Amino acid sequence: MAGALAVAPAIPLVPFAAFLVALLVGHYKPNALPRGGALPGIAATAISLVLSALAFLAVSGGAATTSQVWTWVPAARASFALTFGVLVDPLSAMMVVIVSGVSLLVHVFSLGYMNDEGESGLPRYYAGLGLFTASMLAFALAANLLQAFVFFELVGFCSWWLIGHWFRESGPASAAKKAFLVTRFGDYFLLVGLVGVLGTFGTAAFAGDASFPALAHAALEGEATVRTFGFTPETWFTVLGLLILGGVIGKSAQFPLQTWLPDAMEGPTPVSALIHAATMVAAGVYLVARMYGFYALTPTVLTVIALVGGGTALFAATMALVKREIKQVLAYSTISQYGYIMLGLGSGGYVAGVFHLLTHATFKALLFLGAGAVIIAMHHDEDMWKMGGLKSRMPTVYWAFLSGSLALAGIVPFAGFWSKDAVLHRALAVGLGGQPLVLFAYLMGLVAVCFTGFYTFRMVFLTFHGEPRSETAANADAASANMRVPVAVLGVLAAVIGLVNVDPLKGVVGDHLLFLERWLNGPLPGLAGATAEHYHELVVDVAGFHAASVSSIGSAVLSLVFALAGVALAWTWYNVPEPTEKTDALGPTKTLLYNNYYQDEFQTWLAEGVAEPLARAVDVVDGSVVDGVVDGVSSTSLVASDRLRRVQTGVVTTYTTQLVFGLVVLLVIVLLLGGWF
Amino acid sequence: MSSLELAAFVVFALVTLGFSAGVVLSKQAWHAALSLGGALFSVAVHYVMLGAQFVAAMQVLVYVGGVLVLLAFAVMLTERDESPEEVTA
Amino acid sequence: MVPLRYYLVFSAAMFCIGVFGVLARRNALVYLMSVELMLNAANVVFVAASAQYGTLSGQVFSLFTMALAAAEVAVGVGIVLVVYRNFKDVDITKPTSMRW
Repeated sequence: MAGALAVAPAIPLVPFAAFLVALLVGHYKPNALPRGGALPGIAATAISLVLSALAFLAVSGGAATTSQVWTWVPAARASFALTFGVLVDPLSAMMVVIVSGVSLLVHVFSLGYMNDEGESGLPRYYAGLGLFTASMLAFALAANLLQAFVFFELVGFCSWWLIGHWFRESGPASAAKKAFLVTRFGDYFLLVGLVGVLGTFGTAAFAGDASFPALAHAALEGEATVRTFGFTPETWFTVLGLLILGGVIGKSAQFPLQTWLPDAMEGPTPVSALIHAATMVAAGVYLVARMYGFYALTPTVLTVIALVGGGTALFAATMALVKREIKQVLAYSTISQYGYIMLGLGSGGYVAGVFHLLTHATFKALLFLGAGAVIIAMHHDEDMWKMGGLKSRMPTVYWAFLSGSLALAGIVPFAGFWSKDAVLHRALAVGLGGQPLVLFAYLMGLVAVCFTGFYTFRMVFLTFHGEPRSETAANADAASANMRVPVAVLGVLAAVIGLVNVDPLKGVVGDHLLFLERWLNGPLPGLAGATAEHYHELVVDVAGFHAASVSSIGSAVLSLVFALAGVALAWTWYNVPEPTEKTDALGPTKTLLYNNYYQDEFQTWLAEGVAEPLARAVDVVDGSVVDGVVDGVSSTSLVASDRLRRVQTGVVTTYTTQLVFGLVVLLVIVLLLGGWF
Repeated sequence: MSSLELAAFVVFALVTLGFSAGVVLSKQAWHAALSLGGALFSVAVHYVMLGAQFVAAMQVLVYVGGVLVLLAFAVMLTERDESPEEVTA
Repeated sequence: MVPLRYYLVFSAAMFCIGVFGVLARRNALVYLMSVELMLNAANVVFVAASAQYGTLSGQVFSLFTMALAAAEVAVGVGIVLVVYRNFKDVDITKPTSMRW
């Protein structure tokens, strides 16, 4: 099966070819492009899916490799080389299957969402999707942090491109800019961290014996020395980890950089499904998982990750409670769910975090595509209070959406139940094992479970149950086949994919049923350092995260009770023919939640009230002091030379006079020094 | 130091200074050139009195024979002719 | 032997006369002659000092000065002739165009 790994570089290259086709043919001969570029995109993502599946099978056979494809800057002059490569291990193999699979379904769905609706700019749209898929796959396969950074930026660029698809309207245009700028702000830290990693270790490779996680581990063990710039290795690695975490927080929309994601919903809904739910937002947490061998060495950073994750999970869930637009609810739920993944990774639960990444990609893509079908049926009206009763109008979408919602709410046996409870169980165990901050993060995550159940089913009931609350809802058409098929496929997946790792039943059923854990554990003869088992050892031995023995079933039942409580509340309030808004009961909190805790206002104030005056002050200093010195030097010499040149009369006698004067002065000086006077 | 020697020095010093004053004070360039010749000659006398006969010889040859002749030529070449023909030419 | 300081006074007087000529006269040729006076004043000190200290180096210096003066006058006279051709005069205050 090694042949499957040899063609791994083709996985991102095929969608890139589709991007070129859509871009060039769409520009020069738009009519020659079948269905606005959708068909090349579908073909390319299908090929990528097949290749990814082959790589997946190869990895399951124990083959894992990291190889170098292209040397960008050779090591001759610098002390390290900058290279691009391919790293195929269980994590990346799983990720490319997710990405190409969701991308394929989104391409198909776009036929219904974009083509059938007669949207303009289709070649541009499909070119964006192709480039995004290519860069996301290349990111997932990245063999080192530099390559990861390059494609990290590229997916951010594609996000900007696709959010702003309807750039002639002000909303999408400004949302695209906001998404770009906010994630870029986080990426500055990542860039600094990347430079720091290169400067410290001389390599940015993720896996292998000469990779930077391995070197960092050796340095902590005292078996190798790296440049730590005067800090102890522990401190310096923590600094590096936090810097890289900045990029993660921006891209995965974690607090405090999550404000761009709800605005990004201005983009086409398939884009929201692909980029802002299943894949690009996953790039951040994927990066944490990718360099988990490094993060597992730094308990401080792990705790920060857990706290950010737990906090974001709760924080975003509260905002999702009151939203009226279906995509806004989903956006905040996405932020919240990525918080869970961070919580899992931060509490040392590599498998749990990756598991939730997998299930969330499935059910959230499903929910977004379902929402897209609803939005088409509602003629682009996203207000849930104008929907209702759509269950009978579009049954396929309803049942798939229900499956996704159950998964999101974490109801047994749907996908989210298994993965979310794996995360929470891990956080609880580590929290009780002597990490009070992680325990705090766990409690926030647990409360958020209740909120998740509530807002999810509020959305379901308002959208599909009860009586239609508008003309459009009453006359909604069923979704077309090319929208129904992807939704149905994902609906089935959302129901069953959690069974790949029935974590809460650990100990009840045999370990051989924990497919994902076995899959991530390896063994990998080629890359021993890239297994979950190795990460687990690091978390226990180096970071000192010891798990208390907590009944996994007990933890799962606890969170299930919380989830069901939320669902039950939503049921009593909204599963009635004529539901009414209950948000007034929240009092002033309602306004606070509607306005997202005034974070946008706060950040605007930061920009306008702090950064701008500061910049103006710096500008004044620059204009007066710095420029003043420079201008002063030049104008002084200009004026002085203008005066001095008048000495040059052109009359020889004047020069002679000056000469004699100089002679006399010299004489006087000599005589004075000689003591004659 | 014999008084004769001192007397000779004083006399020729005065002669030299006199000719020098003539160089800078005379109205005509030609007169100035002639005074310069006198001054150069009397400096040569000083050299002889100082026992530097070779320098004195060089003084006469180079200065009087070279420099002064050159200057005299220049004076003649640059002399402004106030004659009417020049004006009409 | 005449004391050196007498020669110094004499030389200084001669030099000052030269300086006066350089400063006061506008005729380029008289200017050149004044320069010759100053050079000769210097030469006198050289030779006097040479005689005083019984070495020949002063005389050697004076010979070099003479050679230099001869060359200088040759060039100077050439310049003066060119100035005369352009300005129809040898007044050194007339050619003032070689400045800023």
